Amino acid sequence: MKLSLAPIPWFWERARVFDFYASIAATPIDIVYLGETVCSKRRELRPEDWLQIAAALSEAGKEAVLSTLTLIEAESELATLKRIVENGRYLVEANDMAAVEMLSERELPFVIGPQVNVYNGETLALLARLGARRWVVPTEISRAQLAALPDRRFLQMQTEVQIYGDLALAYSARCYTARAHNLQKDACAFVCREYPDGLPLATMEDEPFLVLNGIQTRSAAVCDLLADWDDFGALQIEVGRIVPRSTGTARIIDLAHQVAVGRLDAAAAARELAAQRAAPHCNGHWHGAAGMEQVG
Amino acid sequence: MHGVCSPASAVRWEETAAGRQSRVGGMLIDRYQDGQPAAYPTICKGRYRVGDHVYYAIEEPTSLNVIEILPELVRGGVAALKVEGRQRGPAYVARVTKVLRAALDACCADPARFTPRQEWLDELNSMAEGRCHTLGAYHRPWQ
Repeated sequence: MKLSLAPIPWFWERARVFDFYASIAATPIDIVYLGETVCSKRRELRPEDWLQIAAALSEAGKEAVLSTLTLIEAESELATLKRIVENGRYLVEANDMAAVEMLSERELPFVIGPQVNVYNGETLALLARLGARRWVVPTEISRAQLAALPDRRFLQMQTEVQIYGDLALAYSARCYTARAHNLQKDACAFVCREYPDGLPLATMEDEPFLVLNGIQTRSAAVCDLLADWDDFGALQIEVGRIVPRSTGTARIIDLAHQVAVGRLDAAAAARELAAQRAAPHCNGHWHGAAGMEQVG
Repeated sequence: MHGVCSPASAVRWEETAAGRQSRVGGMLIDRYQDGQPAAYPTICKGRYRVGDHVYYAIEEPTSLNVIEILPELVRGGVAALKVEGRQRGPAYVARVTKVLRAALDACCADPARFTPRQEWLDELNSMAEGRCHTLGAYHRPWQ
């Protein structure tokens, strides 16, 4: 089983992004998804910068994939999308159906991103005919639902599941980080740059609940499926995805890699992760419960 | 399917010394003082703490109401109006539909002189979340 790194969901400064991927190049990660998937106003990196990072990671033996914006609202965003689709070298992760359309028109293979609504075999088969070669399973799909889907190998499609990281829950046309600062979205002053792991939101009883990340809402709890690793083979999961955070990402990759190559058993890795937990963890969706719950 | 927002089975109401509280999946969504109208708890319209502030961090509990721009919508080619009825009763749907039908008939009869009547607004506001309405995304030019 391979390991992948999701696109950075947060708005990090340019230098931080370059440093981050320089450190990632030295980890045993197999696949790295790159690009801005949340807000098109975030332009610390130009498209050429992303291509430069992709080239460096390829040089280091990683598979680089370019990810597209999730919520497309403007012509300028379509132009950026077209540029990504026509990059000529790297596989593209389509995060909405506009991207799927552009890729299939050009008969290019693609990855179905986790925000594309795929919940049944018919949709998967349709996307396979359109050129999908890998499917990143939506995080709310349970183990039982995945097991009930048809064999993806007949579709020549790999299955990728997020195994570690907070959950992307919702996207909106509005910006909640700007709202928290009493700013209009149109004049947001890029305040999300102040929160390298998002802006935490708690209930009035101070229970950590959500994380505001611009127009995106994420879970406060970190989804951790490492303890379920031994089950992945039977479910035809070929890639395990990890979501970047400002600290500790390389350590998570290292632990997951040790499990993947059989140097560490899944239970021991899960115990080690539990010992370093800063945020609450969850695995509810996977086990058919409320997403924020920790089962077992 | 999992991931559905605020399913009724996960909603809980409780009367406490601090006020009437609504919860979804155990999480406190909002708290109401005596006499304050309480809304069905949806995650996006809860009151939360971000930094030192407690506020409606995602959305205000207010209803979209396009009645004042009906002539523009008709001119723009809108053929039908959709009334949000999820998590509402049949009585709500009946009253809202009646007001919107009257407004739409008045608008189509004489679009140039159409203005929303106060009793329509009062009737809709009395049923709206937070007892008030908004034009939402229509109040500013789209990007």
